[in-house]
Amino acid sequence: MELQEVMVEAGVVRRVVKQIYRGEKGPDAIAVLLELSKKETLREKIGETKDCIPLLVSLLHNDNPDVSQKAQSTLQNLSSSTSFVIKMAEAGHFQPFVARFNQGFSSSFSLSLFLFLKETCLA
Amino acid sequence: MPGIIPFYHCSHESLNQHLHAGPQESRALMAADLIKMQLKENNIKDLEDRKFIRSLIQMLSSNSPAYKSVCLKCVKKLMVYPLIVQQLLSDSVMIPPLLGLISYVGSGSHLKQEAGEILALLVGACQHPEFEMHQCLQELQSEHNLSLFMQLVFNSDPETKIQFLHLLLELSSKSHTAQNLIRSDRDAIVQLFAALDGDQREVKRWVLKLVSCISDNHPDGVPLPPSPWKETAINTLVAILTCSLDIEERSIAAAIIGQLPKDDIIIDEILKKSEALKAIREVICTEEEYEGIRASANVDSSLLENALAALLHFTEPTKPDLQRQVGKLEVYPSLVRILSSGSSLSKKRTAIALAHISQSTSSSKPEATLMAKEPKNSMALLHVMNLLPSMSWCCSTSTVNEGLCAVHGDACSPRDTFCLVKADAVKPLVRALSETEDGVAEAALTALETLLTDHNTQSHATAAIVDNQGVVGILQVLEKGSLSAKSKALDLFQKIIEHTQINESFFQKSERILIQLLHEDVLKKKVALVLRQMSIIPEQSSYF
Repeated sequence: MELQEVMVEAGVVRRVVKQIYRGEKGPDAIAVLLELSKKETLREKIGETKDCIPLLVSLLHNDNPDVSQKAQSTLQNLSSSTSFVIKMAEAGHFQPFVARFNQGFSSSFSLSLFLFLKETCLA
Repeated sequence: MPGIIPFYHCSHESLNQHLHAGPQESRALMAADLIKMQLKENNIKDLEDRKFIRSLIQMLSSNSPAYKSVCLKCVKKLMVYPLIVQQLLSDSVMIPPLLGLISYVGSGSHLKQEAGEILALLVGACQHPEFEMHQCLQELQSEHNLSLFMQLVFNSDPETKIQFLHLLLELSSKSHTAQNLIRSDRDAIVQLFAALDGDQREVKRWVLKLVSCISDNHPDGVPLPPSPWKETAINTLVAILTCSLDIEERSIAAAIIGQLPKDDIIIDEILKKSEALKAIREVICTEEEYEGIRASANVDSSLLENALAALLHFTEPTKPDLQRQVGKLEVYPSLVRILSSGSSLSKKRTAIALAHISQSTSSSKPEATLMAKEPKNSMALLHVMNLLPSMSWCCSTSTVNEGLCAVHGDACSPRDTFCLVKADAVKPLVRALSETEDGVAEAALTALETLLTDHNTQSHATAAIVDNQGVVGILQVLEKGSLSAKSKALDLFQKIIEHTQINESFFQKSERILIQLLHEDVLKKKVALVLRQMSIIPEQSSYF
């Protein structure tokens, strides 16, 4: 298992999200999320993390252009999943939803499908 | 719903289905989520995307009724936003699949209902001239499609009936073609009026709205079914006006009665024998004037407006019998009150009604010689009469208080004779001249003009108008009124200056307004004649 996967399994995403919410970390914390989201196998974990997508959406309007740019790129990486673009839309960010809808076919597993697999495979 | 049930609730088969899912399934899933989402105005800019709308509409081509239903619900949700509606209207891909869904026998009634609702919303979103500009909507007003919608009105469950009545209503209010095609469908007209006797209240209300709409602004008025259905139809309308507990129903029934053809003796006979006029009176009279009708103080303004429209059928100068009925009901005090307190439309209709009645009585009055011979005494008499308000009604039932009219003398003393002066209608009519709403001032001028039909009494009539600040009102119309109102105002002003001396400040003001009016090509000659009469321009002016 790679270091990044170990970090994610250890709950680093949730910790970063909490720190950003508390205002403790700025661009560096977002940079961690962006870096992790570049790895396709980690995206499901990131997008599933509680409050992660709404937080990233809210950061799109951050005064610091570096923060908003990194949030945008992270969301872009996560938008390969239909269920995540739905989450983004629910948080008020519709562009990935519209792009996904126009594209039509979901090549990656949706959240519901992921949960289904998790339940059936672990059973 | 296949394809959009959460997959952790699915069997392996459905998982397999999803793994091989096409774009429609994914879209259905997303569209189902979109329906549940709370949308804000700033989100709409993203959803207004042409490709997105097209992708959404593509779902209507799916074989799955569930996907179609999701698509329709999603479109309906998005149609709250004008930008999306404009996008839908500007793209021709929306209407054909909706029409296909409606015409396909295998479509469930729920889908047809939703499709009908979306079409009605789309048509409703267009303004009148816009409708003709949207190519995609033109197909809706074809004979075939109108007949299809009408069949769904007659052969469906009540909810579907209502949606298609709504659609037909929107179409006929926006398109003369649709209005004429519906009017000319004899079977449809028979069935529409038959539906008014049904017990489905909501359906009945929509049928009334549609009948009113296809009659509105049409030279032939209400398209009635042939006899014997015609008689039944009129009696049904009267029954709704007189007996319904629903104010809106009564109001629309009154509007339709107001649009009944004016040249049909059978209609006049039915109305004469009916209780329609009493019901109209109930609406337009105040509590003080009509004991026992307490609800009238709270009468809905559109009910009053439409009751006045219905009254106009009875006041038509060509219908002396019906006019006599109006006279007997002592409705004039209430009409004069409405001239002061009603909505602009009420004032306009009241002024027309008074003009009708006044016109008829003016033409039937004997020569009013008394006033012509003794003008000064008569004006003095008018002042005395003003101090005795109980004497002011020509048509009062009071047997003792019948004085002489300052304009017509004893010519308008008989109880069934109406006179604007004795009815105290001149002042409120003059006030109505300052109304800017379309047609009010013109209707008031038409009513005031009826005072001037008899040459023998013209000087008294113009004096009565001037005494009630008529010059101010007329100058307002000449300054700000419509072209047709200005033309009428000029006629009246010309007669006033012929018989009456107006004061210096009014003279100067009128001079300024009239000179400006010389720029109106249509009025130029008439204005020049008045200016010549005022000795402002010479006899040999180039304006003649």
